[in-house]
Amino acid sequence: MSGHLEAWIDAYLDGELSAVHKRGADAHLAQCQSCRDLLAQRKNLTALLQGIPPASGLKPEAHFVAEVGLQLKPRRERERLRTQVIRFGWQFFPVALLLVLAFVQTVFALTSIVGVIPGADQILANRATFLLQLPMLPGQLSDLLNILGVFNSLDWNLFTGMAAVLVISLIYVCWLAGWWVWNQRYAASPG
Amino acid sequence: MLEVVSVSDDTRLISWAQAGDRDAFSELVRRYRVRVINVVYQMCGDANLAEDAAQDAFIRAWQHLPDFQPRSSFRNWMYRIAVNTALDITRRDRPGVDVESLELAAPGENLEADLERRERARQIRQSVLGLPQASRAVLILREYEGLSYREIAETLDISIGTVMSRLNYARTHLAKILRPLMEAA
Repeated sequence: MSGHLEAWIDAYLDGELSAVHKRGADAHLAQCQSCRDLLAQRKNLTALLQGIPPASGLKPEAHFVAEVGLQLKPRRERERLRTQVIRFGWQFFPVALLLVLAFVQTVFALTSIVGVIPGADQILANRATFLLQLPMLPGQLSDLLNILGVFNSLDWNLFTGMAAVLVISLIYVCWLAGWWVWNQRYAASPG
Repeated sequence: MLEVVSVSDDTRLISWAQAGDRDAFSELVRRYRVRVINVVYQMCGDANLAEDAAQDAFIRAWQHLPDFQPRSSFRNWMYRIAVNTALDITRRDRPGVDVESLELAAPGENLEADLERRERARQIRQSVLGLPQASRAVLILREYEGLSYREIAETLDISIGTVMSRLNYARTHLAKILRPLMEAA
């Protein structure tokens, strides 16, 4: 702490400075008249503010409590349900991610097994293409499955597997950050 | 279920109120009534309005209580609702100082001294009401409710640095405006 205490004077007055900073502030105050004046001014202000009387002529406590009680409505069930659904969604997300990871690992393991059996990959790949012929599969969905590599899943190599695990890990980290932020807001977010 | 009234901490009352127990909630209202009224009163300057707003604040608290997480401070949570309710009121009604709500003369105090005291209180309150809402809320939670900087930061969802700068602004501004009163005192 160097120079005058303008920026720290409130923290000093309110006892919010750390021991080290307080010692520095005490040392400065001992030799600086203008900072001592500022501190005295702040103390006067606090005394002035705290000297004004609180609200008077209030309703009796029982009256106030009874009035609040009469105005309490049953809690909005829909809102509570919505909150529960959101909370469930947040909690279910890592489970879903774990299932995706298990799927990826299974496919990866299968790829390895199929890779060592001669001709097996061709047979399985031909079977997988039947999905493309299904009439209920919309065009965009089959395109998406293609992009995602579902139809080529049996051609996965080490790079594809590692990339999938990396993507899942990144999603998990984002979820952790989102969960923390949501919890912070949720813990204190009335009206 | 009202033997809960004897429990010293609020935790059980809160969990019962969260489950829908109105008696437990009434006990919480009893415990926090004065603090909530005071915060709203300091924020808006009108005792009658403050009392109505405090009731609104408790009704909001009842509605949102299932969302409250017991690991956070119920007192600070209530303060937050009180400040938000007061801000809604000041935005809507723009209240001023209600001189009638200031305390009457103490027995033995002469009328002139009482008028002077009232006028001084009115000036101070008017100066506080003249602060920007954000600085006013920080000042009130510190000066009248005695919250630490960390508690204020949690209550208003701002950083400690912001608490410090708003408090510094509020006090510097008030010191300038109220200098004649401080010198007279």
